Amino acid sequence: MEELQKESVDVAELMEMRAQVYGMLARLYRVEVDTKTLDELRGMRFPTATGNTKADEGYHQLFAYLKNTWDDSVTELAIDYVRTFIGHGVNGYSAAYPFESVYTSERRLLMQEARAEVLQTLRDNGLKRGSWTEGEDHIALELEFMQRMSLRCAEALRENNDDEAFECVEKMSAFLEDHLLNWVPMLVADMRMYARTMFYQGLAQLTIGQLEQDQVVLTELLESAQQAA
Amino acid sequence: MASPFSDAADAMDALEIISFEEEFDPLAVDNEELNQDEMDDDNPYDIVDYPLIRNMPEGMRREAVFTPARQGSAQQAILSMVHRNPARRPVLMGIVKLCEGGCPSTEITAQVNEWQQHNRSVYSPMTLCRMLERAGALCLEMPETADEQEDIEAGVAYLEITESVDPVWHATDAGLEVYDLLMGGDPFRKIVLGEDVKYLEVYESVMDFVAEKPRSREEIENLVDTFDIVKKPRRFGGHFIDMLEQTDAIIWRDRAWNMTDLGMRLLPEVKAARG
Repeated sequence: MEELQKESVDVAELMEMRAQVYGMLARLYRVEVDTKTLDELRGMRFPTATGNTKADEGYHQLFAYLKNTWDDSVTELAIDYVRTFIGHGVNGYSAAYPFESVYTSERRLLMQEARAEVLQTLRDNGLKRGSWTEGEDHIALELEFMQRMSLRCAEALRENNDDEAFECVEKMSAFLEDHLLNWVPMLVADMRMYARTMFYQGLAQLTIGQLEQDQVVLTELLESAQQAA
Repeated sequence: MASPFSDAADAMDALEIISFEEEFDPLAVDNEELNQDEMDDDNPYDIVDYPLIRNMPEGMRREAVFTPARQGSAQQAILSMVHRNPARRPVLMGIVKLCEGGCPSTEITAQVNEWQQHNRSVYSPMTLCRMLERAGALCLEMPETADEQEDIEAGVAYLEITESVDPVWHATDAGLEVYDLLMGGDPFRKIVLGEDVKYLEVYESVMDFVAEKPRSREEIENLVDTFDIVKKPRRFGGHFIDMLEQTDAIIWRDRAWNMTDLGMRLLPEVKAARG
């Protein structure tokens, strides 16, 4: 029994760590980096061997950029954010548009089926957009969904509510496969094409590495839970 | 009870829906091919006289980016940029002088913030440096960072940032040449001792007056109005303030006009010219 409880606490910690990484990624995609965020990033510790080569490369590129940041870096990052995610053209191919609809609709349009599905998922889980004024299928919102579900899972584990925790893991796994992994590989490929700073190059690698690694973790958790049942 | 929508309904009656022909395609219209003589006031295609950017006269067009490649040389790019940003000229030139021999960016930021305390700008100090860099007046030297620091905790290795970098800006030869050209007093001599030489007496008095202590615009205007030469043709105090400011002899600081170091150096030349 004690063994089982210890395992739950370890998984809860794991969920909280995942929530932190998802939270950081969501923040970096939501808006440009400001001075406060840059200071926080500089205070971070960057793991060198996560078990996923893309995540390792991403962390290393972020580290390489952040160790040389100075007064002008916030402006430089703001310029690169616009270049990477907003662009100047109107042809639909001028930036790595961070919306799932763009990558999953035939004509690369916003507010398509993917947005409706994400909106429904958010509603099913008692979530709605707050100050956000754009489509819910923005990568920042999808990553934040994963963050919130991880925190819910951690809370359920700490309260020994295994059924709810299992449900959260199932939902995260489904959302990861049905949505994030369905389009983010294409987004990060585009990000690597448009981003000029090592920061956004690294963010692209870290994002895909984190998602791939998370898929493995969630699958293992589901399998072990099913075996235990 | 009146319908809450009555006003809206009245408004709808008062408006007509503008209808264009169905095949109208605004992107298909090429105003280069339109004949103005055939136009009339009701013609929806009549856009030739509207102030579109592509209708802007050639003489009004200005470059927004100043680079040696666009303007032909670094010196020309710097001069054009300073000319197009007259309110930033003292600060831009101040940065160039500050960077003679190299200056860390934190020091530039502190100095520029102080300079711009009474002449605010939407440009941050580093944006001004980047503009000067693009024009060829400055170059940036990034310092070497220390080797990566690894910290191992519970078998996991982490990289940590342990130091901050403070890049050093250096003025280029072209930047310093433009500084000498603009801040050596030549523009002042060209205007005050050249084009405006008949008002030399007025300039001398204004400069003496401001050299005594910082003066308001009103005080300078009252002083200028005491001279007969400004009566016809009429010259107001503002003209002399503008000329002295443009030539960097005076500067607005602490809600008053102050003499600059350059102005103080040029004052004896004015007195000598007056004989």
